[in-house]
Order: sequence, then structure tokens, then C-alpha cells
Amino acid sequence: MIGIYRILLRFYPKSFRSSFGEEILATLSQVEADRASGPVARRIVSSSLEIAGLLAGVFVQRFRVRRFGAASPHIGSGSGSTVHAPALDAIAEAEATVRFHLAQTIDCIAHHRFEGARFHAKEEDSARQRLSTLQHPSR
Amino acid sequence: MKGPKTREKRKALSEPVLLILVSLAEQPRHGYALLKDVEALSDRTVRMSTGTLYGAIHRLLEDGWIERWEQEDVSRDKQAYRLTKVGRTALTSEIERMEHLRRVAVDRLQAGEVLS
Repeated sequence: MIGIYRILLRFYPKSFRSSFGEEILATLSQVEADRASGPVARRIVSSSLEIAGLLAGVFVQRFRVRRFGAASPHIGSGSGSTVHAPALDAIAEAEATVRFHLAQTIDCIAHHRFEGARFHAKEEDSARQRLSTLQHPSR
Repeated sequence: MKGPKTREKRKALSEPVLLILVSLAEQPRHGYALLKDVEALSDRTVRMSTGTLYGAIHRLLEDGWIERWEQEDVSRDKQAYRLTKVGRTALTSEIERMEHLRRVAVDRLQAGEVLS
């Protein structure tokens, strides 16, 4: 079954695979080992659940990248230009970085850690500039 | 009936996300430990797939609600996660929302019993 799981993981965005691929396979190995001594029917149900979960995950992760990409004027059939998958991954990562530092800035302000807030605000600004460059490479 | 202002615009957390946050509220855990704990927490009514778990972990990391817990001499496949202060605040807020809903439900059930 691990071979099937490995094949399904290839359909995930590269950024997701590099962050979680090894971990997911290790967790799936533990789940398989846990179920190995159980009844065959239970193992089939468990493996089917895992396959369904991975397939659903492919659509969720791909949709998130494409949905974000659709907002960019450089992506889509009408724009006349194409942004390749690695660029979409980079955009998704830059967007995630912006969200992360924004959340950290708010948290720091809430806890009166203003030096931390300044740091995260600066990081957020850098991430926004990176994001803008990725979305509008001709500027 | 309206709840506090902070509750009005925020969507309720999904059950898998809520269970992951509750599990991590106690201590950092890695993927497999999370799956087992979520199953135990839900009295075996929620059997989360590994794909669903890591999809949720991905979103929670992006939102800054959880973070990777750095440990020495631990391989990548044993990566553990822990709740951040932002995540703890979000979980507390969700529990308050549920508590508010529970109180409203109890009041309405009691009012219904009086009328019937």
C-alpha cells in the first residue's frame, strides 16, 4: 500500500510534498503497521479511507494554488501568458509567509511584545514585496 | 440571540481542526500520535485519514495557530507540532463560543419543557 500512497503523493504541489511528503509516508507506515494484525476487512476499510483522504487532499491543495493563481492578472487563459507550477508554488508560499507574519504581528501587539511585532511587520512587508514581484514579474 | 461581538463574524472550527487543537493544547505531538489522540478524544467516532490530518496541519501552520516543535536528534518523519499563543487564543475563543451555545441550548430546552 505504501507504493500506492507514494504515487498519490506525486500529485500534490511540490511545496506541499517537500514540506510533508516524508512525514506523511512515515505516518502512513505506522498506521499500516498498527492495522496489520487486525481483520482483513478492517485493513481494507482503513486503506480505502487513507486513499480517499489523499485523493481529496490532492484536489484541496491543487485548488488552493489555482484559486489563488486565478486572482493574478498573469494567470489564466485571458491573460495570454502562463505561470508554471513552480511559480504558483512560490506564490502560494509567499502568501503563506505574509499570513504567518501578519498573525505573529497581531499576537505580539496583543502581548505587548513590540520589538517582536516590529520584526514580524518587517518580515511581512518583505514577503508582500516578494509576492508582488511574483505576481507582477514585468514591473 | 446575539453572542459577544467577537463571535459574530467568525466561522465555527471544523471538528477535525478542533480535535487537533485540543490534542495539541496538552502537549506537542507528531502526526501518528495526533491521529491516535484524535480517535481517543472523539471516543472513536472520528477516524481521521492521514491526508486530512496533514491538510489541516498545513492550514494551521499557515495561519500561525501551530508551529513545528524543534527537537534535537529527531528525524523529519517524527516532526512534532505544538500550539502557538495565537492557536491557544483561537481555541479558547472557540470553547467560549461552544459554551455560549450550550447555555442557549439548555435555556431553550428548559423553556420548551415548561411550555409542553
